[in-house]
Amino acid sequence: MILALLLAAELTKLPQLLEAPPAEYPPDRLVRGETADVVCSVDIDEHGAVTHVQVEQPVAPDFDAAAVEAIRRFRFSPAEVDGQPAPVRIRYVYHFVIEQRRVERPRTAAGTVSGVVVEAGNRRPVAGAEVVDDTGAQAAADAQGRYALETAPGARELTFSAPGFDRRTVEVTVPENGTVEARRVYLHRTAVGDLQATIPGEKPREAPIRRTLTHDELVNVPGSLNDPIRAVQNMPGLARAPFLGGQLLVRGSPPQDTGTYLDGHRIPQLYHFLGGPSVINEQLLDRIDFYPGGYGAAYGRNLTSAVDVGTRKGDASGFHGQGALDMIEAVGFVEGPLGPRTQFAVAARRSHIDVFLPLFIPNDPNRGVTSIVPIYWDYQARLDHRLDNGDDLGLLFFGSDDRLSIVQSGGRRQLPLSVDSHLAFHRIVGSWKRAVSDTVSLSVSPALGWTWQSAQSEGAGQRGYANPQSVDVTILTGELRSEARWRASHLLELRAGTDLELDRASYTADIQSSLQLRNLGIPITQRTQFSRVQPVQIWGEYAEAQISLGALSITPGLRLDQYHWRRHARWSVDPRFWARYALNERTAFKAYAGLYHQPPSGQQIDDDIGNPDLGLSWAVQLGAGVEHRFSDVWSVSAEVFYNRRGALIVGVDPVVRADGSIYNPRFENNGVGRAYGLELLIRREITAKLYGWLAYTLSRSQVLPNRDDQWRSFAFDQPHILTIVAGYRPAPRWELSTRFRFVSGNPYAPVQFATFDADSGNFVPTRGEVGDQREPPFAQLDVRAQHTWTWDAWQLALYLDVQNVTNRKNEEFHVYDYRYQDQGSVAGLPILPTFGVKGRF
Amino acid sequence: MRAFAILLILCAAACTPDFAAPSDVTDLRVLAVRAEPPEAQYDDAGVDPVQLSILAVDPRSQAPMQVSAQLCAPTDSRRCDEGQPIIDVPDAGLSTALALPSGFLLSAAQLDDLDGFGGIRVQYSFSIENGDVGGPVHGSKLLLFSPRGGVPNRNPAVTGIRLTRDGIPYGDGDPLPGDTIELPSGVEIGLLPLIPTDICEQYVTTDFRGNQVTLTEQPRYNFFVTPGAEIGVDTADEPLDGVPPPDGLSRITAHSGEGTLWIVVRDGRGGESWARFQWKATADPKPTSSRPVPARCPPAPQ
Repeated sequence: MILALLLAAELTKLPQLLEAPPAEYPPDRLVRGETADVVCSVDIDEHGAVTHVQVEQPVAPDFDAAAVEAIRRFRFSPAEVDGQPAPVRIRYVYHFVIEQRRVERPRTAAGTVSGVVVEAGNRRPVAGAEVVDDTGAQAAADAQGRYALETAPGARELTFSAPGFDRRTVEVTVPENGTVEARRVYLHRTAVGDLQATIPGEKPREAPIRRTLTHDELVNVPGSLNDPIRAVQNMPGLARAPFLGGQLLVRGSPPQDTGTYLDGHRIPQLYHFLGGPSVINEQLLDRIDFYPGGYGAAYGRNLTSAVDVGTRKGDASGFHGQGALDMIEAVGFVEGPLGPRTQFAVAARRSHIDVFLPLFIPNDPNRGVTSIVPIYWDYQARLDHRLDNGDDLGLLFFGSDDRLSIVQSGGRRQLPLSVDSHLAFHRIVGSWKRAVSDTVSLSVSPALGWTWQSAQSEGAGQRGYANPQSVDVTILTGELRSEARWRASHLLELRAGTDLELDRASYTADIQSSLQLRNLGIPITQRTQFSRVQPVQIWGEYAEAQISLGALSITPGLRLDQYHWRRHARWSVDPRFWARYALNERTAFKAYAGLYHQPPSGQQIDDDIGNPDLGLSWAVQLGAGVEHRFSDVWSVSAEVFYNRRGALIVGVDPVVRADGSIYNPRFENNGVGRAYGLELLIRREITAKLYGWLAYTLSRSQVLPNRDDQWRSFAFDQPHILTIVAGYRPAPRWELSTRFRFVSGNPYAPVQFATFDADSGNFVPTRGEVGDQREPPFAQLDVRAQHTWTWDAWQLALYLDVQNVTNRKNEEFHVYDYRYQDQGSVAGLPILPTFGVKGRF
Repeated sequence: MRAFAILLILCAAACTPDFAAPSDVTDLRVLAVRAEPPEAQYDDAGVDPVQLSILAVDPRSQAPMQVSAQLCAPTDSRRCDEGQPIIDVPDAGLSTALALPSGFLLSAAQLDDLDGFGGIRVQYSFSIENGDVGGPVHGSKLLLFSPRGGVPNRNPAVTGIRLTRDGIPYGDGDPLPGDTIELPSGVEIGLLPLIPTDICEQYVTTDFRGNQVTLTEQPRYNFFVTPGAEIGVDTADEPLDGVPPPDGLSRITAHSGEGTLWIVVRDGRGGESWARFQWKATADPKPTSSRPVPARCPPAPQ
């Protein structure tokens, strides 16, 4: 299953209404003075012609028929997806309004009134807005919102109107045989969701299933912290991360089994630390392709899933921006054109939570004084240009920086503890796209990156571990993605590409390492210093074919990867296959199977602290499901999956060889894992006032670390995960939303008894297996309310987001006293209100 | 998972229940077990005997302590589970003399994944009961046996204690084990265990790559006290640079009454010992006076 999240309000170009011949008002209704609003969904082809009209909220047969007949004669400018004309479906409300008008013909030489009609708050043109004056003269605004009205000279009263907007009246003096420029007219929206675009059709990375969520659904879900990428965590297949954690725990696998990408290129992390927001500004997002399993051959080197976040071009129609401020961070964004074929978009963020955090951190003389200073920031800048020959060039700069400093002193601590952690990365990504012909397209995207990671500590442990320790890692990365597509016929499309990655990691470590092979309860450490350069090269190639056989679509694919590190070479061959069968317009079946490989991490293959002879881990993924659309508003999707993982890297103890020598590899490919389950998604599409979905996952995930062990639950094995999201807009200025989650408690290994170990002075617990017991279930209700004020040129939104509104005490994990006689639990977050303000122009 | 680990640190500081400290002795506890010698030797003629002493205390009861013990190969649970050779120790008590059969030693070596590498280990598992409502306390001690001819380990020792107040030596002198310490009520007094200068032995062992390395012992201290006083730092290590902090390695604050203070020292190689002091809260503080800094272990090589 693939979950593709589109930010529909940010299409490259919306369809604009160019011609709107009026409907024939039902005579009986006109006589009786009856009005109506008929809500329809309208299919528009890539030429702007209306191909289908469906009444969504019937009013009466005569009104409905008149609206459908009128809309069929509408003409739009084509919508564009990634700069190319594309079919689209919109929601349109046809208003039957009765007006009394006196029509006069101009008696003297006509004058002209011209001007611009834009939407209040964001200054986007209101194409198709109707302009009527007191003489009855009419005009319509074009795609840029410009109009030119010929009318009689003199004092005129102009009335502006458009479906879903209020009316405005402007007084103008029209010169005789001349032209006057009226002041800009701002129309305020009166209804929500009248014009919403959802896009059927193919996604750039094809997959058996595609789902669409709008930008507002993603951003305004409670607990999302205004971050669309976090909303992914409300989808089926994802386990709940503890506290505010942003880890992606997909289908019972650890976070490192999910690859995170930005515009197709890997990034070290998707979220800032401490449960912070994603490293990409939400205004810059174009799409979120989330593949919880069965992803295609274009991605690789991860056992379970992939998340690819796509950025968008700046708005070519004008300059826009947004600023937001809350208790945690300040965010800014600006975009606009730099020429007829050039656009830019820039975003930046900086946290200030370090100012408020001391209010929440306890300073108890018994436990010590704690100082925590977390600081994060990120930036993105994108530049796009279209060449004369139609090629698209792009340049994207982005980076992220997380710093955390913790100092703890006093209490029952001998030495102060200080920990400093820093992770920063910067990337430059280029892109070139060419439509060679109607059937062939090429794309190339190189990238350069720098990643720095450092950690220093002092007092973090006992004995030698309390010594100052530090680790610094610098990674230079070069990547190259390329792809060629050929639509050989309406039955067959072929895709082939490369995915190359060259890394040069240099790291310096000054650490205390437990040196002794054997000790009696208390490890002896020794200072270990080393400095090393580790180059890694990964060459990936892939090919896919999409074969359409009527209702059946099948996509076989093959991916090859070759890995090279320090005198070692590994290679993998990953066949993948998926199929989709559309039983009818509303029901489709899907199935997939694939093999996936994942290389060890740099630490795991290090000569001194790892095992350079490690091999690749592998996973076999199988899945099948069904989608059914009850109506244009309600849909359901259900899928079953099975993942089997092998050659997982686990820690091992040293052993004595037959010749008496010591064999201590530290890690081996001994582990096995399995996960299986059912995922269900029931969704109500966003309409005028309401949206929501219910996501339920029933699954199990287990691991077998070594052959002699027993199967045990994965640390975040949560058999039941239920998420219900609902949003309601009683008026355009208000949005209320709520989220309810019910999740099985995390498994843990209960302590059966404990024994005092005289050699260490500690009690040693004897535990059962992970999964023998579970924490109590997690349940939480979050709510959010947002009010928006709209002026002509800008908007201001104020929101309040309350997580755990009932202040329920959820237990995250167990803790014990020193002799495992007393036990308690660490509670999750209490009621957590956050408020913020957002301005947009 | 880095962010999750950091969140754990934060919440551990803020969100954990208030458990009793290990240094507070309020019921039946086993604080240490000393084997003399800590590293016994063996050859074809036999195995050296070992004298075991258990420091078991209970401030609430004077009832006699009943000890039962077994010998077996080391287990993960630290108890002699079924399914392996087990020897019941007759007449086990707080002080027990052990004479191990050679055949048992060989059996323990065969059950070792590292074939007795670094010495054959035999687990002495025991339980102590005195009618305490909390039930018996279970403990274990690994006995180490190495071939005769090498230099065996020796037990460390605490020969006294230096008291300090505000970084300056407190009282008339350094109390010896068994002495009664008068502590001013409500005042934090620094504790610095005094040790023989040759306590930090050098020894040769094998690292993770199979290479021989020479290491130096670094004693670790645990502090325990009966109700009426509290310990500032439960566990402290001998300073790596050989220079103790002016205010000691731990601190004690007496509030009222009197009680017992124990200091247990371990060398990390199976050697351990302890010293006991009586303490008494008093309203009359003693004077402080400068005294030479007591000799410590030399700085650990880096």
